Amino acid sequence: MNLTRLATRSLINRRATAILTIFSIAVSVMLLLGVEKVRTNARESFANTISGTDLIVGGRSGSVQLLLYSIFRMGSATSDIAWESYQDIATQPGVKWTVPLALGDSHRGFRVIGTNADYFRFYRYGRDRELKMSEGHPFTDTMDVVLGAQVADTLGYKIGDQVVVSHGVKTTSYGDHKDKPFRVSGILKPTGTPVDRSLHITLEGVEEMHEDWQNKMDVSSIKKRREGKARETESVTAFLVGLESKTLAFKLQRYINEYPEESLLAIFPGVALHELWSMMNVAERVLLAISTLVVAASLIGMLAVSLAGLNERRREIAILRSLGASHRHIVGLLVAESTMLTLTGIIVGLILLYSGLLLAQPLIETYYGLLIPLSWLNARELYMILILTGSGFLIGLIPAWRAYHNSLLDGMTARI
Amino acid sequence: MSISKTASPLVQLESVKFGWPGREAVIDFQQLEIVAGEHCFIQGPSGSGKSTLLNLIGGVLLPQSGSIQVLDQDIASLRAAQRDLFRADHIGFIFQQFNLIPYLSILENVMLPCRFSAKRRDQSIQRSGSVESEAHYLLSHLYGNSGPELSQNVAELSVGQQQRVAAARALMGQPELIIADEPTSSLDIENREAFMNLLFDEVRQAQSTLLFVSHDPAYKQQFNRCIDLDTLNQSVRGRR
Repeated sequence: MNLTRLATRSLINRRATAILTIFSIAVSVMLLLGVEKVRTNARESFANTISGTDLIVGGRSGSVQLLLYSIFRMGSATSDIAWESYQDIATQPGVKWTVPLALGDSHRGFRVIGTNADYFRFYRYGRDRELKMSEGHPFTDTMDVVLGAQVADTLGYKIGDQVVVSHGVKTTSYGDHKDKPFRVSGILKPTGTPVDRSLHITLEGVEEMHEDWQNKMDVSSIKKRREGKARETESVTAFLVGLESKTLAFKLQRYINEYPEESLLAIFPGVALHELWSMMNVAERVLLAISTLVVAASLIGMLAVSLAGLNERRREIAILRSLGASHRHIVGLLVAESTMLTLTGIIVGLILLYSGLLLAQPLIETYYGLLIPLSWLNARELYMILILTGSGFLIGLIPAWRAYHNSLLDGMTARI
Repeated sequence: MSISKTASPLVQLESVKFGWPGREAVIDFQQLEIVAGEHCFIQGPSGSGKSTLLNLIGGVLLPQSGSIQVLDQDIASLRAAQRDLFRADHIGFIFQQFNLIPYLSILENVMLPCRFSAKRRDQSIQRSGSVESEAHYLLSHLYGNSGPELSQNVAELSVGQQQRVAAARALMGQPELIIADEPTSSLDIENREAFMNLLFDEVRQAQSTLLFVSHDPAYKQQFNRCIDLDTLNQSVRGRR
């Protein structure tokens, strides 16, 4: 006796409720797996914001704060690092490369990073991916600016355009450095990291711009600056360190953290990223919990529909009993129905999810810098689906148990 | 198991008592025997324990005491699933109305017993070559030439047509025992007669035993044996 076929025909007969049940399961599955996909990809993309860097060094503050302003270009530094300290650490044995970062300026809401050409050589994100130019080239002149992909895209800048940088990081900054405009020399390819939302200028450019601005404000400093170390960088906000060997990292970290001249902080990017993520994963957990509850609600809906329809089906079950169907057949029929509803719901949900992703993928990438690949389900997602199918099966046992009890009373003659 | 031509009992009830838990017995039979090949009329008003009796013979209910034998098989000695299979193999039922599974076609309804019983499937194939052609054969007999489309949904059939489909289904694969429980009471008089004639023809042809249950004594004379349930059932006698 082919129970699945009988169950299918029975469901088709009650297609209005069956379709609604399938649809509610489908929507909940789409939500659950959608949240799961965004969650894993957000976490991955987050962890991939920076790679290849062994230490991030900044003024003494919290490690999350340092990570936020140096890598995520959010918030601001409380103190700078003297150029001498930077040079000292950069020349320590085992240090392979350093990339200086001077922060604190902005351009129309995007952060401006003062750095040097090493930034484009050594900065890595994702799985050891380099920054690549989509147009133009890195710095050749003091007043060159290299734009992140999103900056160029949003503001519509092309190579050779003039860019005026403001002091401070607010959109409406006080004091534009109008006298010293920068010239766009290159535009980077999209990375899906905060680099896309940054403008990169040379350290000398930063000094030039500030000096000029300060000159107007503070006449007394003109002489000092002009005579002494004009156009020379006095400090950086933070710097990235690459080591010859990872085993040196702890030693150098201790050296920096106990630096006698000024209070500095060196952090491991991976550890700090993890710390930052765990601060945010309450939201992530809440999202997952909500979508799990939505799934539970859709399964309870299926149960309610199944139980409500049971009384009308007493005669059908009595007929099957008279034809020789055993209680096992009746239980099997009802369990098969709820399992099939759940499975169909899952399949429809997957179709909705992937077609939704296909449509939303470019939008999510543009607005959130998050690329959600149309990858096949991973082990965890398959496990979720398995649990869901199992729940559908188990929930089917409840109406099946009721039907069994009804049929004990009815025998072959249900009087409804 | 073929139908024996000797007068051995096909159904045999001895001192059978049945009652729902906490209530008084609805069935209390000293002795009931139905011989193979017999066309037996059981008369009883509603409430006389008819449907309980049918559920007992079908092995859906078990008596509290006494023994029920069908085809020399003690029903109580079988496990639940075995009783279900036994019923599928040996008994065809026709009820008063709503006999059919609403979401299956006419043909699928008629072929349904062969999904539960391999024995009846084999016998159908033996007789007509395939389950489907056996169903076609029975339906054409019961409908004559004016039958509906066999792929048609049963919900669209008239009650008379539904009862014919039910009869065809009961006869499918030649079960030894056909039990008809008020099969004509929802039909008009004209249809009743036609239905009875067809039923007798088919039962005879299949050499099955017929157990016909009705409250209406009008059919009595067509049967070779009549049993009055009220006289047989001691629990009913006691109550009245």
